[in-house]
Amino acid sequence: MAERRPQRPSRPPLLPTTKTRPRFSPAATGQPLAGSGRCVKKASQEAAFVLPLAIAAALVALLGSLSVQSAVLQNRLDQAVRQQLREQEDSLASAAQQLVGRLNRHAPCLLVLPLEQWSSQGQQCLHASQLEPLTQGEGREGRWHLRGWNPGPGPVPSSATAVLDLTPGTSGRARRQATVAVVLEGGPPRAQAVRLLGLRGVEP
Amino acid sequence: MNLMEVMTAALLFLASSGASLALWSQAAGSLADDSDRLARSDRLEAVLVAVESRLRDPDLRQGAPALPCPVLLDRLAATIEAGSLPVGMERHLTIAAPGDLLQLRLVEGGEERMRSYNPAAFGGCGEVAPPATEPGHAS
Repeated sequence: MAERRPQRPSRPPLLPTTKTRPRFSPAATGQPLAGSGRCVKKASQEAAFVLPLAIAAALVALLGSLSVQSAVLQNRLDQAVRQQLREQEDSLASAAQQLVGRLNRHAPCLLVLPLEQWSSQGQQCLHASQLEPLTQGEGREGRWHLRGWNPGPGPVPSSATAVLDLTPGTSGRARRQATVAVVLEGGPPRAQAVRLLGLRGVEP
Repeated sequence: MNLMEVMTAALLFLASSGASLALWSQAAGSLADDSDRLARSDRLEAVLVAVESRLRDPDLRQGAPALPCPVLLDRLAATIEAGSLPVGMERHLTIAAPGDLLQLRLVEGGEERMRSYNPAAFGGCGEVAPPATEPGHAS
């Protein structure tokens, strides 16, 4: 009797046989690609992501630089206004010098009288017809007028306050009003010093 | 990834970056100019304040109002010219047409300040007002 050799237990094959399905080669099986739709979608999503990103970055860069530019323009506008204010301040300071010089020379008696009394009581040292040219003039920035003259208290005041209006010669510039302090000294008081106290805008 | 889309995105980004850089550099240049102008303007203001402060000196008014106006005008000009100026600033003193106004012009770069001074405003000068019509009133 022939000995029957015991059958060896079958081992699992080391290499995939033709029956095993390859993981990443579905084409080889002839079946439809299960994961291919997802890959194409991912690629198209990446492509669609680059353009909006570029547009967003471009917009951010342009908007940022435009905002900086507008800040620079605002700064320049502020400087132009400041320069205009300084020119008007110079003009009003010069007007104050002119006015006080005229009063000292031609009508010192008016220094101690409020402006409202100049036309009545001021006639003792100045004719009424001379009053108008005394209280106005032409400056670099326009025409100035004396709006108020208020001497300090007492019969011999030590100071006075003048209010001057500047009507600009060029259009587009605001009207300004300056308050000026004048130091008075002497037996018959004379103006000794003039100082611009401040400027303010005036409604046209 | 579509090459066309990538190229478009790159072009767009490059163009906007270029424009943005140009705007930034322009803004930086303008800011530098503005700050220079502001500094010049502040220096002019400081010199003007110093001039006004010197003009409050009582010595300037000594002898007024009996002094002739041209004498006081010269004294005024000398007081203004006594002050030193920052480097790059120019001072021009002129006598205005009527002869009784001293015009001070300070210039630095493109900036300038101009003020007029009347010698008679510093205590009076020259001929005084005609005598009062009523005796006893100061004139």
